[in-house]
Amino acid sequence: MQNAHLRLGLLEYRRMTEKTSTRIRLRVDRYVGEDEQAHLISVFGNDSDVGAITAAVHEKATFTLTFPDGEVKEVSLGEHASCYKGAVSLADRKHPVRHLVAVSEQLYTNGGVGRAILLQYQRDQAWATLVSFLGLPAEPSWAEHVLGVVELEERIKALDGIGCQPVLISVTTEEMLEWIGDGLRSQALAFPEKNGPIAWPKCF
Amino acid sequence: MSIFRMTDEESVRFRQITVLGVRRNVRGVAVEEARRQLQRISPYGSFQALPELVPGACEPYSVPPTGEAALSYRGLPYDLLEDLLPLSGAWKQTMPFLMPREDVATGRPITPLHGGHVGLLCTAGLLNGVFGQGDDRHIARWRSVKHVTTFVEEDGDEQIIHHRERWANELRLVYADGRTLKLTETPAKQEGEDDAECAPETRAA
Repeated sequence: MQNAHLRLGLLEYRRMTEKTSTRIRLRVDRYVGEDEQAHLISVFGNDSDVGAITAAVHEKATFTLTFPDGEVKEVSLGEHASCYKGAVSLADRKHPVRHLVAVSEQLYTNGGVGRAILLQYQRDQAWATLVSFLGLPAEPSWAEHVLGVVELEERIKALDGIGCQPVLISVTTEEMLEWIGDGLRSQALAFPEKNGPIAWPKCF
Repeated sequence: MSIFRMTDEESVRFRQITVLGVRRNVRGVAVEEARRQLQRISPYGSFQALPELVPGACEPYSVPPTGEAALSYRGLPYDLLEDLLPLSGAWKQTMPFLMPREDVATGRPITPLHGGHVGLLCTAGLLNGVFGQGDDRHIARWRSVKHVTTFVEEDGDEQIIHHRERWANELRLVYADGRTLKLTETPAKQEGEDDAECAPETRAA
């Protein structure tokens, strides 16, 4: 796609000590956050800048994040954040571009304690993800009914995002099972006719 | 090539001159002529012999037209990187936290499965699906759950907080008539115990 610079955010890290002042700015292609709590930050740049941001994440540093629309926020990944590194080779460049995805502890345990964070909310994909994370015995065609209940209960909250439209779904396995049971009893949900494995659509 | 002496006080002090010419590739005789011309002005007294650099001292040079200026961007190619980043190793490691896991195995085993095989496949979540007949028709889904038990030990005036982690297999069933069931290998939670589901099955292995 063209004009990627209009869709990218900017992550800035400043550190002042007595003798030195450090200022690092990296482009952000994906971000998921909830107010000041960042859940996922995906940045890219050169080796030293990405290394410095990795160290800052482990030090629980606060970053200045500029969204594509110009909004500025101070965000932090908090304790026990995880960092995952990759590299992208470009044909006309000697050194590969370094890529870092930093994940908060809450996203690392995504789906536990009644909270599931999704990169975007489309019923089919959201249903498949919830079923996988919560360990639900379910069927793909139940997405419309069960997520309809979830929407009615106002359990879906939009999160801050760059390069995605993340949502937080606050629901427990027990609640979902209760709604599935209600749907089957009221015959709003149809039980599969044949025995065997259940095929789920591929989400990526 | 035109050579002029500069008339400013500081320029006179350091015998500064101006050499004006049109740059071009020259060879042979032209090179020798240019060299001779420069050598002629090199002796000490020749500075005053040069003409002064004043307005109109030489013919104006008209700058030849050039082609259109081409702007080039030497930073990171954002458009290309935006397309390539989802393929990076970092995203592949992060995907299990955001995307559903493909955990259904299909196909015919080489040899018939015995009870141990079935048990292993069940607890690995590879035999999820629809089972049973009549009123007992149900959908089964296995998963591994990490339980964390927290307890406090008194040691004199100090308190030692222990977190004990254990993995357990869990089977959830939903019947065609709407009944739901949760089967675990661990007993029901006791009052005062602080148990919590900490990680979905994607991190079980």
